[in-house]
Amino acid sequence: MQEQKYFEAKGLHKYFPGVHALNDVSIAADKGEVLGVIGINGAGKSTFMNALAGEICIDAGEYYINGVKAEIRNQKDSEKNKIALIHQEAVVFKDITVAENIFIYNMQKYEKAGCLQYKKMFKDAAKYLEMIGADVNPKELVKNITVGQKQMIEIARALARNAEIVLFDEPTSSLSIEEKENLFRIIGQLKEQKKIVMYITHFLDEIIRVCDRATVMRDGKVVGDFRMSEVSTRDLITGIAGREVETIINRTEESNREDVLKVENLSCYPMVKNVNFTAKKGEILGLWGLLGSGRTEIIRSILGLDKADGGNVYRRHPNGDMVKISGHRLLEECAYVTEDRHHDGLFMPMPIWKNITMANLRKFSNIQMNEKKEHIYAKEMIREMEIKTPDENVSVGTLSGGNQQKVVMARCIGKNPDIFFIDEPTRGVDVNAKSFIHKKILELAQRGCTVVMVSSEIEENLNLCDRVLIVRNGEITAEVKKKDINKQNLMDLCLGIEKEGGK
Amino acid sequence: MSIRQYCVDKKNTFINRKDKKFVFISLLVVIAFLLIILFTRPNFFNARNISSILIQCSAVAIMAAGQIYVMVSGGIDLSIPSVMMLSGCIGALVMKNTGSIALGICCIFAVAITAGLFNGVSVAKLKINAFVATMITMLIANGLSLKVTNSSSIPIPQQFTKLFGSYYGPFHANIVAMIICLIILQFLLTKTGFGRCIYAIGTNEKSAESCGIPTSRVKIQVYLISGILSGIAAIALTARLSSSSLSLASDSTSLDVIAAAIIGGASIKGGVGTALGAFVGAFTINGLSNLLVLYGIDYYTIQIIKGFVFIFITYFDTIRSKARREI
Repeated sequence: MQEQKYFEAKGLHKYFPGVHALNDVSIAADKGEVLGVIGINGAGKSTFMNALAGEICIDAGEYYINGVKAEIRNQKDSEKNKIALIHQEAVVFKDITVAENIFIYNMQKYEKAGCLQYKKMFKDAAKYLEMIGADVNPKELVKNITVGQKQMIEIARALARNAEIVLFDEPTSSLSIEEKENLFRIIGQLKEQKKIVMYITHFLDEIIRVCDRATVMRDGKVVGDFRMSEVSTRDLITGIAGREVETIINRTEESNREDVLKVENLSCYPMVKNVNFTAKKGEILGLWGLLGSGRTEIIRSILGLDKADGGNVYRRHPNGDMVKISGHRLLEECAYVTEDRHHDGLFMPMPIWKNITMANLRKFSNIQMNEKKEHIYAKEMIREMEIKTPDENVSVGTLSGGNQQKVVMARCIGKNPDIFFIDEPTRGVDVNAKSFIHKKILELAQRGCTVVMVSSEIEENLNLCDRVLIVRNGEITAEVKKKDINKQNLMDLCLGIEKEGGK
Repeated sequence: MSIRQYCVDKKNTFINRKDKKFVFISLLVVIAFLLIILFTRPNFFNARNISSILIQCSAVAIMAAGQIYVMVSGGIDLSIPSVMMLSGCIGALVMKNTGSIALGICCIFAVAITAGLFNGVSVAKLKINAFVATMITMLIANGLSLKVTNSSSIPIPQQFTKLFGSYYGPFHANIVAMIICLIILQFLLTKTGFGRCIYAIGTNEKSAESCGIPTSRVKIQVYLISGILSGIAAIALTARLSSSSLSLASDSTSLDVIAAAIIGGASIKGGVGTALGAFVGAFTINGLSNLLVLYGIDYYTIQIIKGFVFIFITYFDTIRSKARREI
């Protein structure tokens, strides 16, 4: 008989249409342990977390908490068993105060004769916020605080509900570097308080940093369990992917190339201030900066999605001249991969084939749409992009994150433009899909396309970019050449620490 | 049945069991009603009655098709019947005073197109909520109609009635107009790139924008189409009634048009629906009214009953969109 752990899940099964999302998953964790759950998209990590949080109901399997069998069928059960999920995007209500957000689940506790006792609520909120060392004013309205602080609210909320098991679902994906550090510190505190922390992420360095143990999932199964003290990054990657992944990609040295795109004095209140740059043929140009530094806004205003207040964009005409072009024309002629595929990238309820041809409808229509041609084309792209799906009629919403991202890429590549704007090429994407997308981006550059890329991942900038522009407060503050691109340099520049190596 | 099969089956329908039961029971109720009707009022099913329902429903179907266009794009157009009434009244006045049918028709379309553009620009360029924007248009159109007609009925020239309100062979002109409109609209919506853009905007406007679809332009076009269809409905209706008056659009017509669109498969949340659905919806609603009249129920009671039936039907829309979301 094994030793008794505080939390045990045994033989969990969950089926989704066409997918066995959890296949005999058994995971156990003890108090004061930080357990990482890693795996590629669609491996079943999120399904597992959602099952624990009561957001979905498993089809078979058992949970034991403190040795007692527990039923988790809905959020109420989950709460009763002291499980709390910290969502990827914090679930908060913008127009009420921080304190109200923390106690939103048990407001009645503060009700007296039908009125809320705000004083007491603020005091309690401050107590919980202090417990995690979060510097947030409980009286502040949530719309005025940062993403990281919103996450603090969720953590405080979990504490207020007495949670023993705290689940983190990719918590760092939209945090700044300082906020990340703060989060890791809080996780350390939770550990000291003898809570169980389960942590999902794609970032291996984070796993190595915060976790004691990591459970690796693949295709809905648990395929490995590593103690962090005795494992290398390489082992983890191999475990996740189920095969060796080549992570470092070499680029040929830049040569003298002609300009293809030129942005002049572009400004768009309030996030884009007087931006100037040129992009060359066959070049991957990175825009690097902190979250909220205006990277996305620069691209949006170049493409006319946000109306620019001033400035011009020029694009190379086939005859060699640089011709002024309007945002809308440019958007029609180039490809744009948005930051958030859910929000403004894909059409989730629509089938894959419609999603793939959507940016390029003219190619398939005379008077009427040639659906047959669209289907054939979509099949081709699915094969080329290695999108895992039974066929092209599946709605995109059912695909895993990595495959969804590949659909977005397929749509853009299929348009066959010579300029690509790619915002966060691999956010929320697994290792396999990531290296595939990287390969594709490099292929594009090799073919002579210009790629303007925004990425929060420093590795991506290191591995892919030929040149990196540093964005700070909506301005381009420096330019880093290929030979100077390194981690330290990029970090220093985006934080505003001036050193040699900048422009 | 294994767990796996069970779950997959359960999931594949995308409708949960409670809702499924509801759909099933309501289907049984509808069939039961049809049987009761068959035995108590067999007249309902005879060719003349059906043909009269078809004639009556054609104007509603044409308007509902416009509504479906707007709804597929994720908006709503409350002003359709009012615009129809206004253009009908102005057209009738022009025809009465100038005697020129052509000029009257031009005026009808001019009014309808203006209203459509007004809606489109308010929604797409000024970013006013579709509900509010079209409600304003509705109020303006109602007020204007009242003003130009002085609440009196305006007769229509005989020629006009003959042209657009009489039988061609076995078919009434209204039915012909409906069929032609719906076929063209169906083609435009489901087969062309323009139609695909409308669906895209209704499904996720932000994504559509990032794909390079000119969302404002398409939205203006959609409201424009809805306006033009109001004009066509005005011609059909005034010709059939051989006069134009405020009674062209009764209080419930606006609701009729929206209900017809929803029964026909459009969703308030956008992204779904086909133009042919407008016929299904309009026919159902007019069939219901016709039936209630056959049973000797008075106009006001019919309104009440219709109201309850609409609640029932809108609930179906909720179930449908829930099923889509779960995908």
